[in-house]
Amino acid sequence: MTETIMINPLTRVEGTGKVKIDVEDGAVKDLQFCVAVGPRFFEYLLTNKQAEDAPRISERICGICYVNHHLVSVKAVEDAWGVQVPEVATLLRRTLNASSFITSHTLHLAFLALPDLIPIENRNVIGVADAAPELASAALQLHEYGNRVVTEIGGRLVHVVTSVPGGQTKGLTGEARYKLLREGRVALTNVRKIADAIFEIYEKRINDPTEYMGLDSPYMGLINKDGGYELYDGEIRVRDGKGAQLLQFPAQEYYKQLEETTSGHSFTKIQYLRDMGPLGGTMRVGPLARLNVIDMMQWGTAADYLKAYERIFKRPTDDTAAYNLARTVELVASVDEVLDGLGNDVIMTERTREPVKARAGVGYAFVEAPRGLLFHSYEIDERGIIKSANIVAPTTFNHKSIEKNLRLYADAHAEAFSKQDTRKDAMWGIEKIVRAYDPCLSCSVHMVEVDVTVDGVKHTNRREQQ
Amino acid sequence: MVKILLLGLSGDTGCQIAIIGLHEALLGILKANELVYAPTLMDVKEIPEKIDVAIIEGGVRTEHEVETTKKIRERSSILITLGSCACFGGVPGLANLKEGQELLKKIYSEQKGTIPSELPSIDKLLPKQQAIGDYVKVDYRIPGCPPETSDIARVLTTLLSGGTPELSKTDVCELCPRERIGEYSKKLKRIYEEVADPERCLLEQGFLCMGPATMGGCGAPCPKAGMPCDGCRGPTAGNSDQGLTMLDALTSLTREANENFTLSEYVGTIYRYTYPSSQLAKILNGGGKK
Repeated sequence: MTETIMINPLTRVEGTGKVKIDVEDGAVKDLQFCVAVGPRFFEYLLTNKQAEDAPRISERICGICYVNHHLVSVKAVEDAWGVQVPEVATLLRRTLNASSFITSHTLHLAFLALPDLIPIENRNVIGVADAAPELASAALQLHEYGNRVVTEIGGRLVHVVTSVPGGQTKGLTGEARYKLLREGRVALTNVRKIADAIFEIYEKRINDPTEYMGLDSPYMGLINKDGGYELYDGEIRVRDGKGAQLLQFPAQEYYKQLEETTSGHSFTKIQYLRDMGPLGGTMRVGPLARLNVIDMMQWGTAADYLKAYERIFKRPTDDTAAYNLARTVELVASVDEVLDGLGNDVIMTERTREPVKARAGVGYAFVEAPRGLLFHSYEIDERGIIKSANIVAPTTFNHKSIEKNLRLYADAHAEAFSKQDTRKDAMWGIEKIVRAYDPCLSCSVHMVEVDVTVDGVKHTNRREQQ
Repeated sequence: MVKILLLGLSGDTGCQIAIIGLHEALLGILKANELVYAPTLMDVKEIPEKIDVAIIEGGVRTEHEVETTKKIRERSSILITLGSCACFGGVPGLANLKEGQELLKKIYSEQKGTIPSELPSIDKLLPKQQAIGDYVKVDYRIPGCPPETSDIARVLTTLLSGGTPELSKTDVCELCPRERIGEYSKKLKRIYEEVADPERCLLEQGFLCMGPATMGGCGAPCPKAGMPCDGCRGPTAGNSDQGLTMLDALTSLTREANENFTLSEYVGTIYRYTYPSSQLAKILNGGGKK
């Protein structure tokens, strides 16, 4: 007899989703990870719109990754039009992109993930603030710093406005630059405080290989021309879990290397590497993948933390437990990169954009968003009107791997799911894994719930049924 | 202890991120009150029986969201719609020009690079995205995409101390520092075509700035940063249709704007956030909502 266990909605994640597990005679029969955010059809609603509006419309896909959508969108339009932007515009955009990692990674680590990593009753932001007030305060200050950099360069908080084909509509004033540099020193202190605390948790943690599970998958992320860490430009590198390079390609080769299909149980699509097919070719992106594909970390403070990371996890690693620690190294790197950008005198160049001309063409672009690679491509006509758009968000790349990862976990803990007294903890285990990926369900489309069926009876992580 | 619910429907969580932008002030509000349901921030899985203040972000796109909206309304003393998706339907409402099932098919099976398989069937999709107010009574609206953090703070603290919050009665131009001299460009320009004069009114220079048709109070951050206002705060007080208000402003600007006007290309400009709630959508849909 089959029992269905539902974890619905998944909480402490962005957007709405659920997990549905069917258990029969003590074994897992099926597991589905469903993104249930209502589809909002951004690809359709971008068509027939003026291409220069795409950065402002498409960033409404996500209230967390908005900076990344804004930037990848303007890059895709510029790719279609053959536009080169002034050096200062690239530097402003790089710094803006890095600052989005400060806000997103801080929010995730301190307020969504930390409640799973430290033993607290009240697993939420208030619980963290009560149990570790100094850490919570450092996180709030760091998040606020990220917000200030975003607002200063992007012109506005949540849904920035300054990127236009040809450059940036606004540069930095000397006053703003020095203020951000001054506050950046405090940010560096705060990020070390947070990183040290998380590294301490990981160093003491007893490694239970079935807690997050290891998943054999290809890893995909941007690298710069030296094989270093890259968030804004560069090429895609794909490596396997042993470190062997499978592919390296520019955004323009997207359709040559990747394919996608749909799933009946989720509003998100499934991406896979064409050569490997839909079964073995589903990849992982995000912090773990990025640290798995790079040859070196060029940002100084982050390089030190990467060494500490390598004492805990080998690199590359397949262990999903490494996601949060990789995210911690990246949080440090984002502060490093923002300070490097602000410290570069090029950022004070007065003319931040040039007028450009629309032309017919197809544009492709990638950037790294906090939760992984983000791809936009537009077909634009000679009047600068978008005729078709395709958007692939990080959680879309990760979707199938998350499901596979959850299945491995459910199989390893099938007995715990079958029994009433251990089920609640097993369901928490499911949510911890989903959260490790920091899924952005609005981005991927939008929703997570966890449902489990054990011997035909439905269980959910909703309160009254636990 | 006021019991607060914070939930996102068909939207992008950006309004909740704007709330998190209150930082220490938010911790203060959360400690003095009781957050009873907020899936983004805490692990409660079921909507509680009694809610004092419900804050909903996002519009309504699926049947499940309609049920959730009605359930929350029944259980709440005060319901606030946060942001332009909840207040007017928002950017996703631009997809209302095509029916839901047709779109599902288009995006999930006819998209470049997509190998068609099953169409998603996890939740029944409604034909159109709608505002919360199309389904239930709304007590307060905080428009914006997202609303300014200061607006959210003001409305919440006023409500939580028993007062009645009010929204701005001005337009965006009121606080815009750009100078108007009363002379308009003869040509409607697109923002990439030329670098705008940083001191002068963008609309006078020919860039389609939605400032005159948009509720003020934001401090005009977009025109200050060199970008036209795109109307994210919805219509000004007393005007129900933002696009018509803007067209009215444009007739005095340039003939070209009217001659070259095509709905599909400009609906994303003059109705970017408010199409589902506009008079135009009602005329095109024969007034049918649900």
